[in-house]
Amino acid sequence: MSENLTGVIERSTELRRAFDKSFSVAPVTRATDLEDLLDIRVGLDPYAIHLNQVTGVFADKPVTPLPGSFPELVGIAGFRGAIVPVYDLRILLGYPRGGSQRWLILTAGKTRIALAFDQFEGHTRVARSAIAEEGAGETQQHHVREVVRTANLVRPIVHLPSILEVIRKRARQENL
Amino acid sequence: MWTFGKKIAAGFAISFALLAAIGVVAYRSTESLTKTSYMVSHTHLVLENIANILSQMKDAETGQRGFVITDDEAYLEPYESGRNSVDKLVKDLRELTADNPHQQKRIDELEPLIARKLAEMKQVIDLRRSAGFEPSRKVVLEGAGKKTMDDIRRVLEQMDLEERDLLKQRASEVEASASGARLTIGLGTLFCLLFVSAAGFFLTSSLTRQIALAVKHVQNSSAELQSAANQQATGAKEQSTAMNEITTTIRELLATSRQIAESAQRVAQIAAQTVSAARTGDGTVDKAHESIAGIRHQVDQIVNHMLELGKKSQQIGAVLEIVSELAEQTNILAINATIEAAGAGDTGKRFAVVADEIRKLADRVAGSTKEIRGLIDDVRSAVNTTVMATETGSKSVESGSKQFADVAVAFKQIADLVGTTTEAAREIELSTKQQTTAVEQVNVAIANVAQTTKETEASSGQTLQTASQLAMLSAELLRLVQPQVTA
Repeated sequence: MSENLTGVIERSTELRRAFDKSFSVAPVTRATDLEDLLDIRVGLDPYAIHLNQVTGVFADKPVTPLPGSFPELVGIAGFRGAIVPVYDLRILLGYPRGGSQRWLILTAGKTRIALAFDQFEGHTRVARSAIAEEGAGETQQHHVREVVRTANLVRPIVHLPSILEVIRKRARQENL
Repeated sequence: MWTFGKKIAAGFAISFALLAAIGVVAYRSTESLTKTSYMVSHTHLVLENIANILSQMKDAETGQRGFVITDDEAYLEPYESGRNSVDKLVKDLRELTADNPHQQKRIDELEPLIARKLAEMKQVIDLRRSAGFEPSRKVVLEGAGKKTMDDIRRVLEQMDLEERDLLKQRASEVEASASGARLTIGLGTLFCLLFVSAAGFFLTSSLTRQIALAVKHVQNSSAELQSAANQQATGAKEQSTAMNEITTTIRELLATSRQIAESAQRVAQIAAQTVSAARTGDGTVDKAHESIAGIRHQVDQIVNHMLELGKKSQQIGAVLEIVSELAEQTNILAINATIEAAGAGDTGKRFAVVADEIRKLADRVAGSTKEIRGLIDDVRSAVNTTVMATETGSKSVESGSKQFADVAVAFKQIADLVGTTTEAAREIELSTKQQTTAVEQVNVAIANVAQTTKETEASSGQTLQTASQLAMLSAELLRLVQPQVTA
């Protein structure tokens, strides 16, 4: 216990130093070969989403359920005054219904939808070389075109446009 | 009831009576014959006497005559002898014919005649002596002597006749009585013989029949007796066997009773030991109870401290939640700021840097929060585990305590039960001792009964033998009385 204590004290000291250091250091321009990714989990599987495809990350936003025939439609939610439909990313990715839809990301682009998923792990910056195209031989997953290789795992990157496409198709069918 | 004895007695009595009758008759006849023969001999005596008298008188006369003729004294010898003996003879005659009055009268008539004759002879003799032959011859020739002699002869003849008549009469009487006796004896003997043979035949047949009947009865009874004796012998044998079995069983029972007594004694001993052990156990249980109570107290304290620790960690957790929430929100804001900064273009670059720093900080906080949460979780899980463990321990202590209490109760029960067992064992011991005594008595009684049974067996064997002998004897007896029956 005393070892842990000294370790913790050391860590806190380290953190303070780093924080203080950040103010003293000149601003670093971001390298353009870095890509921002949001690390998420759907079910128990790790995924990633390009940050530039997302306009916001929200947690515990109240979603009003809507009756409907779409199982992937969770409901609607208000984002800065705008009512946005919330879709279940689990179901869209082909997972069975379940899990918590605590985290929402608001998509970028003309059509704004929200996608709900289980877990938000964080924001990472990876080198663009770590992202690779998904080959044909790899597991066929819905809406996954790329994968990112990190130190300990491979995260498939969710391709939001294809998801949007699917939703649009569904809506059209419905309207028909 | 005409018994054997009575029948035989009757037969013999009748035979005796008949024989007696015949004997009496024979005796009477013999008596009468004797009497008659005595009378005859008496009469003969009388006749002889009469003849003697006559002969003496004749001799006297002859002597007288001889003397007269010869004048020889020697010739007077018959006269002297005759004269001497005649009186006696007449007296004798009188005695002999004392019962006959006719003869007495004649003797009365005779005596004077004889006296006259003797006187006459004497006179003649004297005359011859004195006077000689011629005067005596004259006297003789006078014929008075002859007359007297004739009268004497006449009387004697009469007497003789009468006696001879008497003799004839008596002879005929004798004949009659003899023939009567003969008849009686003959007929009687014949009748007696017939009767005796009839009686004998009748008696024999009747007695034989009765004996045969009785013997058959005896045979039947002896057969029954034999069979009964057989049964008795068999029964006695079975009884003897049963007695043996009972004796063996009783011996086993005795042995078992002794074993039970010993076992009861051992049980009592063990029970006493168990009581003392239970008491010791009781003491140990009480001590353990106390120590358990102490443990429980300590455990309760531990639990309380642990619960406090848990509460505190919960508080820390709550605080941590807030920090985490803040970090998260900070992170989200940083991300959103980054997104907005990206959208702001160049102007937003400097803002993007700050947003980045905020994000980094938020990451660090989140990381630390994760660590802390991890630690808190560890602590809480440790606390939980400890609490659970202590709870489990407390529960087990509780249950252990309860078990100890149960054990104490059980020990008390054991002590009580052992006490009861000891009592029961003592009772068992006592009753088995009594039982052993009773069984020993029964053993003795059984031995007696067995002895009696053996004796009965022996005696029934003897009875059987006796019955067989009886059967044989009765068969022999039957054969004796009914030779044609060979069974």
